[in-house]
Amino acid sequence: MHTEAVLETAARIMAPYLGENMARASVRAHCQKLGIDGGEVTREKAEALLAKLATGLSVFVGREKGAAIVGEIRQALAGMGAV
Amino acid sequence: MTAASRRVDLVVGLIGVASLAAFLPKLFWRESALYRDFLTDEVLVYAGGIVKLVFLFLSALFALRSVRRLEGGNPARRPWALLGGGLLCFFLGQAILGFHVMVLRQPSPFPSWADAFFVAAYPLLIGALAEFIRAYRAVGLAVGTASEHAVLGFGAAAVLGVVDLMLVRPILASSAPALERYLNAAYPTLDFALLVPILVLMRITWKFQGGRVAFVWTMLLTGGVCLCAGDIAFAYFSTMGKQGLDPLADVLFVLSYLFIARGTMAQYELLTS
Repeated sequence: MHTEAVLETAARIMAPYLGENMARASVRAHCQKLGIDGGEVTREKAEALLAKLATGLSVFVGREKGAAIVGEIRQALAGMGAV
Repeated sequence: MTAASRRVDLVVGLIGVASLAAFLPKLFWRESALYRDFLTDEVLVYAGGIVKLVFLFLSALFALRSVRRLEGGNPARRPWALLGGGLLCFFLGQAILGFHVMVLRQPSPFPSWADAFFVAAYPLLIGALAEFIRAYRAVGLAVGTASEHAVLGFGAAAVLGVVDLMLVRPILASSAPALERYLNAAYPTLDFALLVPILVLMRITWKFQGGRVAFVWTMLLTGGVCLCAGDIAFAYFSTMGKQGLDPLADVLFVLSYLFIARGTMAQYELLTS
């Protein structure tokens, strides 16, 4: 799956909590740190990204709910064939 | 947003509007029939005192309930605990004042044991806000870098420090008893110190706009600004003998506690809904 599609999907699901701009900026920042810089995203890198997003969300919504939101992202990505 | 949280917004909003409508006109029409016969000093003291106590209690309660919901090791747990502790200190201080005014029917004592709780609250609140900033940076959110926050913090501290000096000088030079003077100087100084992390968090909150996190922090930070403004106004008006302006400080305190309570409730909703 392409980086932009992963970014859009993750940002869309996190936006109700973090706001659209912060959700997008945070996903992009994590992508850069993980070396996801355009092109196809491997399964391993997608999982690493989801783990980082869960940590970021947990400071606001708690670990349990953060994991649930990331589960929603994972499900959406799986539906698109990414993870 | 759930129906329950909309109802809470409605109640908090109505109390806020009612407080503005009750206190602010007193600045201009203190001698009017409305304030002589209906909204007498006693009525306003009781109504304001009860609202302050209830909402400070709710602020502390929901901050501490959020701590219990956050699991061990979560970097946000400690700052919520500090914030809850600070708000609890404010509640205890306000309860002492309320006991004197509403139960003993005496004028609000100053200085009193309430001041010990109010002063103790500030390191907890300042520590909480500084820890929130650190926690949000640590988890990799795009909230800005440590150096950006340091520049903003030091810049704000420099400007507010100058304003504080200008404000505190006449307070310290006044003829009030020593402890009263030092406390009246300490409150605005502590408030200006509290404003520094508030300004950094305002910048961070701006980046969250549109999300539920932004609502939590907009409420908490607006409450923090009202608290600082109320304290500074109270210290200045009481030392300078401008008691006629007290309704302004009163309404700022009431609004502050309403906003902070709504913020801590919204955080708890974020964790549980």
